[in-house]
Amino acid sequence: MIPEATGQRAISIRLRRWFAAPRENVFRAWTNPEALKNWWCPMGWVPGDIEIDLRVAGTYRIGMRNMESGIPVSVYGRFLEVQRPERLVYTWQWENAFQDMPETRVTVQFVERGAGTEVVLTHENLPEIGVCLRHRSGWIAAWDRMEESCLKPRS
Amino acid sequence: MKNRIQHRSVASVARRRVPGSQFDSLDEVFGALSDPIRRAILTRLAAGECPVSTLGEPFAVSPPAISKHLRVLEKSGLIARRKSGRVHYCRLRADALRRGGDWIQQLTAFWERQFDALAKYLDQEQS
Repeated sequence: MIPEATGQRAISIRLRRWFAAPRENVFRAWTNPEALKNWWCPMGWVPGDIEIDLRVAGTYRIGMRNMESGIPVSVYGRFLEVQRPERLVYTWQWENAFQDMPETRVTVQFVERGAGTEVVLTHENLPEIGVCLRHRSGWIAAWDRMEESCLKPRS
Repeated sequence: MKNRIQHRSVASVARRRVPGSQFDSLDEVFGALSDPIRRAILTRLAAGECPVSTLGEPFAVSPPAISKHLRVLEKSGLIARRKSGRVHYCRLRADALRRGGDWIQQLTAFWERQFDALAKYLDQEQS
């Protein structure tokens, strides 16, 4: 088998944002079902069932429903690390969107910074597509766009 | 700083994009990319068009299994086939991969939107 066939070369996305709120508040907003109902859904969507068993090996499901079509979409997974209020690691899978996508992983760090909290979010194990793009000059633009928003895993 | 500005512009795109319809159209692309043999076939095709008969060579997989992988890739739009005489050839299709790249942007946009919404919620909570 050629090397690309077996290697774990998944890509990841990392984002940071500073919030003007104490770390405990940000952590609660991120993990409390009642709080999530108030901010998680994009416009045009309403909250569905939100269940969060916030402990290692506990599962979660955050559901929402499209107001027009009624189509439900959920994100679900299980917690791999729970360190209140500084760090969460959990698996992430879509339901009703990207059904064949493999399980991905999200790490969220809540860092006290200044009078607020910086959230560092890493979404990992996204399927590798860069390997397919790298060789072809015609796709360099697409690859560059990906590079802007993606960080390759540090191996 | 430059990155932040880019992220903001992505975030404004995110408000117009909601999960659901846009995401669903990519299921097949990512389904096709979820298998290591299919990814290896794509890597091979990235170097140029290949006869179907040579695509299975590096793998300890039966020809029918390779055909099955090729059908998945074809259905996803990631590859196209053509026939010349008795030989079938496969080639990569850039547009489907580009859609995959766009999905990375969509996911980034999704999280940016979530950050925007969280910031708003936290502000309201404080006041």
